[in-house]
Amino acid sequence: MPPKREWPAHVPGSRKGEEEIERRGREPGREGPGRTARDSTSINPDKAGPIDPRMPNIPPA
Amino acid sequence: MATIPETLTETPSRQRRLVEMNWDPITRIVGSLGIFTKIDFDNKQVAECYSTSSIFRGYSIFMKGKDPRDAHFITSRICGICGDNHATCSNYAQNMAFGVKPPELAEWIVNLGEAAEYMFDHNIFQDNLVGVDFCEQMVKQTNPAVWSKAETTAAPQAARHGYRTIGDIMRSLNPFTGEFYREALQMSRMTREMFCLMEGRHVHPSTLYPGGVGTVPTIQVFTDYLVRLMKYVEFMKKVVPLHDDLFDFFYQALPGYEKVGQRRILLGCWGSFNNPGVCDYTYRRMGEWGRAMYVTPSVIVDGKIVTNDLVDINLGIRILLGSSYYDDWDKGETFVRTDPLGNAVDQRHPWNQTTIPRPQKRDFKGNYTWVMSPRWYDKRTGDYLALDTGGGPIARLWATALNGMVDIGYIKATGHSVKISLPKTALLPETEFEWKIPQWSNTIERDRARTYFQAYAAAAALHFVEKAMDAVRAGRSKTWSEFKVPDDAIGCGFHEAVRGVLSHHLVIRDGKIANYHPYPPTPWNANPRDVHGTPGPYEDAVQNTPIFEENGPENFKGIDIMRTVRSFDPCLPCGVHMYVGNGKVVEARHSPMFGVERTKEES
Amino acid sequence: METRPFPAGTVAQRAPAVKEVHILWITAGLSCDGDSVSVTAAEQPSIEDVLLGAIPGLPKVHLHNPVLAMEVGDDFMKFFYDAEKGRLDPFVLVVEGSIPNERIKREGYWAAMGTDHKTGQPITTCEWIDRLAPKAWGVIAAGTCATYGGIHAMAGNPTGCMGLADYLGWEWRSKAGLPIVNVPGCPVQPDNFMETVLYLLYQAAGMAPIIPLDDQLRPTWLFGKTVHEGCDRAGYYEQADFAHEYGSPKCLVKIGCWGPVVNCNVTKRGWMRGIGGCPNVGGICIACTMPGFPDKFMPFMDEPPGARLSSLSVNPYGRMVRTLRSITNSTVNKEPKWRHPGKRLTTGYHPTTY
Repeated sequence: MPPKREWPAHVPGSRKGEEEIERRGREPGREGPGRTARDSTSINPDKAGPIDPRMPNIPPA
Repeated sequence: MATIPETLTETPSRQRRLVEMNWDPITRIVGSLGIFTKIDFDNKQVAECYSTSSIFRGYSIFMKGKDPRDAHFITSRICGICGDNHATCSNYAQNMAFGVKPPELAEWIVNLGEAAEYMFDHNIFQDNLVGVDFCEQMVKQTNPAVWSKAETTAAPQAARHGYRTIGDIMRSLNPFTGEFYREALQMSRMTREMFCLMEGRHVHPSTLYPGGVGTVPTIQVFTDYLVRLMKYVEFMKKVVPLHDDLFDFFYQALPGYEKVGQRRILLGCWGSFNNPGVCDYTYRRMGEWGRAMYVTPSVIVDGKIVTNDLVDINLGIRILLGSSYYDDWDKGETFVRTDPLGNAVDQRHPWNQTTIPRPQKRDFKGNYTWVMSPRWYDKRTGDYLALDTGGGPIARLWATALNGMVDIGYIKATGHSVKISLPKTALLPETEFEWKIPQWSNTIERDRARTYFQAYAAAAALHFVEKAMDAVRAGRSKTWSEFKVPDDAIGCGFHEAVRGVLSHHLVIRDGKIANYHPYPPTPWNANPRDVHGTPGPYEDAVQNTPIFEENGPENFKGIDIMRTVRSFDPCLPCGVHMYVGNGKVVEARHSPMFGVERTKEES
Repeated sequence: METRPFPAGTVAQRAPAVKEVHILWITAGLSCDGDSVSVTAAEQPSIEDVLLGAIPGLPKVHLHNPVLAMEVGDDFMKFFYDAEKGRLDPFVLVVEGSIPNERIKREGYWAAMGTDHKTGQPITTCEWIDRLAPKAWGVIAAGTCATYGGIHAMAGNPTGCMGLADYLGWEWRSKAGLPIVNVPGCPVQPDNFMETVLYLLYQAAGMAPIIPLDDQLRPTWLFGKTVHEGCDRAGYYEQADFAHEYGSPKCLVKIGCWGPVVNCNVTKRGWMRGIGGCPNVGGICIACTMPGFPDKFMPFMDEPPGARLSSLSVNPYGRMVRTLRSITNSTVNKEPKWRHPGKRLTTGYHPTTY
């Protein structure tokens, strides 16, 4: 058998990408159905969001 | 403060029926310009003309005390279409003051960026702004007879550009709906991509620094530039014949049109595109490296070269006050008494200018504008020459042609013309264009030169990109040389903004800017009668310009005046003003723009 | 041109809430006209896409910008006089250039557009803003000069100029309830501006809610992250690999770049079509989108004060992680051993039939 690192199968101990969310919960800025400013920036995110409740929340990519 | 003479000696005073016609603002230029005229409809002539610009920002004031290394970032913001010309010129002045020579590759990168700027700006100005003055919609309104003729006149070079008649060309120039209008607008975006590859962003570059550039030279960046350049080269093979056909048609359809916008041949070109093999930015050798530029500098009087030496050109610059909102500095501080070669520097030279604004009401009899009057002092005759740039290209081509020095294969200056050889492109073969020195410095020839200079810039860029690629492949990829800012220094930069002569003069004291005066082309082109009574270039060009428009006062568009004004490619963030002529008002068809002050002058 | 109904009788687009919108563009602040010029570079959408109706559902747009207009003089100014009289409803007012302070002097004008027919004197730009802002459906400040004062508002300036929100008030609302929409940039990035105009046109058409703006009145989807967060050189920073000279491909934070604290998306989207930009292509970020520009960032070529500490702090981590990555990179730069032309198959498959 070829050595473990060269065989494409899960290596015990590595984290599975799809389980990260179960392990750590939703990211800051992505807690709800939509995105908030904190999803895009960690520099003053509280100032980067919309100033009026009628405005939708659309942070950058 | 200047006093304006009561009558012009060259205009015989006689009873004329004059009608006031005003256009404020002039559109399809950059910046703020208003034109106020009196038209003699009986004799179909412009009798009087003022133009004024209404914006003051104060660069020479707020730059005092700032760090000299910030100068090019700040002065780029003088202009929103050619800001990079200012940034480049400022870096030339800083290089001189700091005593630094950028590496060879930096010079090719700057030249490629500036070539892209000329390719962009002339293209958008000529085809999306000036072109509207020659489009179907406009010509139908101003000269219906000319439009009828255009529809039935075959375009001599239709095989090259694809438009069967002159009318077809005019239709394609219609704003937004015209096919060529849109194609040119799209091309202008591609040329700006080329610019961004070299200088980062447009119009205010991010990658220019004193000492060189921050652009990382890779195979990719020059390949990306070259691929786009070849598309532009192919485009020019169609655009040059298209404009030749259009402009030649105006001479045929309207005999005498050569007099529109005509003035004495008094041209200034400060040179462009430094040669890294010769240029070291020292004042001492400036005459030599100036002559080595790929657009040769010159002062041209009556069709002859007076000088092509940048030191002579520098020492001859004088800033006179005409009718502008400033106090004089004749008794002010003298920053620079002699240049580095020991020559005396005049108090009216930009190194010694102090800008003292005094905002006041506009008075066409007194002060009415924010601009001063640059002149070139001809020490042979003692004249203060009102040089013009003709919008840039005509002066550049004229100077380069006469000097006969530029020879890079793609471009050859012959002494009476400039030959531009464009290589094979995807669909079209090798093509040579020859710009011949014209008989007149007039509206049509200024416009024609602009198209030819687009081809010139493309040809020069072909040379520069080859040199740049050679340098990269040979491993000579340094793009910046280190320097230290001295406590006290002076510097000057000479360049060609898109529209013509550009100089930046800098004085450093205690490591900070003590004085900074940029002189872009527009103040040279459009300034009023100065204290010596010398008229400005616009005056000559507009005064006694014949009117060919078929409309009377009721529907007058002033199209011949508009074409003349736009032939100079006015760029007003610097300001414009001019005064022309004298005459009697008999009737005013439009609401008078002059108000109370004008009435006094009219007696 | 004859129109035919769609075969199934459906309507491809619904009629906009508003049929026509005029855009009145004043370039006569203390301006270089760079934002108007920038707009001609936009492709997403282009100015002609909008004016020729290439985007479905939008109202018909009439643009009155002096740099592009066919009309000259009185014919051009007529639209501004009509808007003042309420004849051009709805219109969007775009202001470009720093707003001068005309009150700090006895007479004269810093900036003006057109001439007053009665007095013969120029009409100041401030006067035009006073006349038109109250009548506008919405107001956009284009470029850093109009948004926050910009270059002409630096220390030592003679005109006392400022941004539009300083002039009208930061709490100002249009008659349709919109705050001033600030799209900063020096000049404004072409697609940033046109995207914002497109959003407002959708809003006017009844297809979008009120445009989302942050506390500096900037569209949140454009300015909601920092230059550094979008920079393709940030990887060098993390690896503590910093440029010592201009022309280096590495992180520029020690030779003048303010990216870590500047709100701007140019590193992320490039300048045009993904080409160019600022630090991503070798130009230190001079923070030209920011209210503090330019004074709080000068001299531009000096290392920003915070960069000294942060670049020092990341050094030990960066050196270590470079070593570790080099090891892993060596390993993954080798193909697995079973790719060879030898006679024995060593891939892990055990054939029985050959």
